[in-house]
Amino acid sequence: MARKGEPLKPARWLLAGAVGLALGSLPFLRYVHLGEPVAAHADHAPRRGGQLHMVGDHHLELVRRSGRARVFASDARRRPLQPTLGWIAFDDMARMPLSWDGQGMGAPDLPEARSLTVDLELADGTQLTWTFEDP
Amino acid sequence: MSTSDSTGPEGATFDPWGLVLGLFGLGNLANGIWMLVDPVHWFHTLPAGVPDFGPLNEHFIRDIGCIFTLLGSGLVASAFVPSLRVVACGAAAGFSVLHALVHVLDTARGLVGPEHWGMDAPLVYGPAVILCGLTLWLARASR
Repeated sequence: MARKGEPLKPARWLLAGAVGLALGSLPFLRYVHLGEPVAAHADHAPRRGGQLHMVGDHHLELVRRSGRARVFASDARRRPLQPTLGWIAFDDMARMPLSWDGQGMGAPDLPEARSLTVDLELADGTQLTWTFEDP
Repeated sequence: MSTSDSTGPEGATFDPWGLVLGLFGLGNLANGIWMLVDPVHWFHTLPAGVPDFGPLNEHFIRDIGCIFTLLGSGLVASAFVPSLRVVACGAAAGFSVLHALVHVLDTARGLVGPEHWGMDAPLVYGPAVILCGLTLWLARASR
């Protein structure tokens, strides 16, 4: 650090400019990936401890917990999606609409049901349907 | 670098620290204004992979845009007013540390894949540490 009254060298201004630019650009930089590439269909781990299946290029995870059945949709790279509409059928009998709860689509669960069929419609019109057995 | 290399009228100065904080502040200010003006464009265009963490919510993006705008304004002001530097940089460091803790929580609980440990290291965890160090350095230099 320069003492007061000491003339500053251009190198100090250049260094300051470089540090300032580096800090200022932080919000806009692309994250560097140091591990395996984030490829499509490379990650099939359930995010919430439920049952996960692929439906075409998309993923659906069903979680039955605390009296609710919740479905989480994500794309081929596991980026979360918000469906526009959804239905769930319990043992192909009771069928009820799913509603968005901020993270996924949910409805009251019927705990005795062993087969749950989920129908979702995405914003681009894609229809996702899957039957979860013994979830 | 001194914190008072060229004192102007009414105590306003501009020195290399001012350049660091001014550019840092302008980046935050630009990001905040972008979030406030066009949150949908920000959500889909920012290279940081925002959609990985959840669906678009325009209201919350604008909420966070207010924070970035405030932090950026404070940092830019502190570029010219040295007495504001520790507070402005401390606020940015505090936000950065809390933000990093949220990333730790969301990666540890599996909201995003384990690849985010590596992805977040250089641009989330690293800056939090650097900003804490910078704040301490400024605090010492201001004594």
